[in-house]
Amino acid sequence: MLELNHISKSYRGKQNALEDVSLTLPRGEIVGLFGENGAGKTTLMKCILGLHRYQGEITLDGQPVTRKNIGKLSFATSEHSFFPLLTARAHREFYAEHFPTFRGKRFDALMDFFELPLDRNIGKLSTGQQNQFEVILALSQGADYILMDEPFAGNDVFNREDFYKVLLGILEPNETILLSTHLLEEVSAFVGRALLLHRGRLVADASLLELEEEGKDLMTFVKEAYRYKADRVYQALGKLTEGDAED
Amino acid sequence: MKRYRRDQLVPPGVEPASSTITLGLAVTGMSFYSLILFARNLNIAASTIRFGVERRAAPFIDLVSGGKLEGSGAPIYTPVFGLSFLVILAAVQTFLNYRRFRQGSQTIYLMRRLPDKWELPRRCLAFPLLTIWVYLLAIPLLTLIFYLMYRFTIPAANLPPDQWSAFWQGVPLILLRLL
Repeated sequence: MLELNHISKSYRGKQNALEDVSLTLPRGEIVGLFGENGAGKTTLMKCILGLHRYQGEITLDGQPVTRKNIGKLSFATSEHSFFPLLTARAHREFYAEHFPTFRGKRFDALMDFFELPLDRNIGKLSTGQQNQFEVILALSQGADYILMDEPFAGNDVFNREDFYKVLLGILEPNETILLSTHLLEEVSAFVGRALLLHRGRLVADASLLELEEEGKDLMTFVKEAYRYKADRVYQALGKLTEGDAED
Repeated sequence: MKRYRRDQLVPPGVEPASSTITLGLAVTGMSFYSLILFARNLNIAASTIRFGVERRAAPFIDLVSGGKLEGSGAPIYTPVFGLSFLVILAAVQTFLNYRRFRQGSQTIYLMRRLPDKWELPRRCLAFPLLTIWVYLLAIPLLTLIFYLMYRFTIPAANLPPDQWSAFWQGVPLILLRLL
């Protein structure tokens, strides 16, 4: 279980990027992490990975996250964390060398599925292919907790849909995914739980099953949690056109 | 002790051959530079004997360190010039190696979450430190070469007495300057 207790993070001279966030991620869940730009989704993931300093406590199966257990976490980011000058084959070797749990068969199968070349530098692939490769690495590392930060930015809808299907097909019961994305409607059929961040605070945490029982869909739930005013567009347009009429 | 392949000592994607060539050029270049400095000192010493200004040549330690030789232009032990340049070069190379993990992608995220915490420092520091290490090993060899040049250039009759005691007295000074 990945456990976050009272996590706060502030960047110098700015308001808190994260404020007292507490949550648990048991094994075997696919969790969506949602929030507006700047809500703190990326910061939260980087805190979990130890890439940022933070206040509070993060434990992985009861232990603090250190180099000893960091291999249980993998990360796919839209910023990309592969080596642009290396080929996929060289990445495979690098990961196998550093992560004893590396899943070579899964890597090969996913490379085949997405028809990515093994012997071409990753930096020379298209952005969509680079995103796919980034995700393949995260899924093949052999981690128990796979963090994905906007992994599909730049991929077309067919590509993404293929990906969700593959993901559902290959994930094992002990693997957990924390997926940060803006594509709410697309992933609603795919995630089992939704976490909502708003201005650095965790404002909602709900299982999709519960929402279904309440007769709500993910989008309605998110709008409610954010207190989204549906009529604000009309009000704004009304004011604007009123001004035009006066002119 | 674990042995590493050369490609494990540079940032992934960087040719180890190019780092080896840089290392070789830096060490050779600096050795050659200190040779030129010493040859200039030796030439001045040989001239003072040839033209009868002095009967005794300056001791080897003074030539190699440029200590008491007026107008030599080399106030410290000549190979140390190279060393200080190599330290600066190593610092620049380390910075450039580190920067590679942020160029084109944020590979630094991966490097910082590897189970082996030495992977990132090793790939940034190995060749820069190796350059300094090889040059430190070259310093005694250079000193030997310089001494042989000194013996072949200065006639035996003009060699100063107590050459070796002067040398050993000068070594702590050299080491101090090296630090």
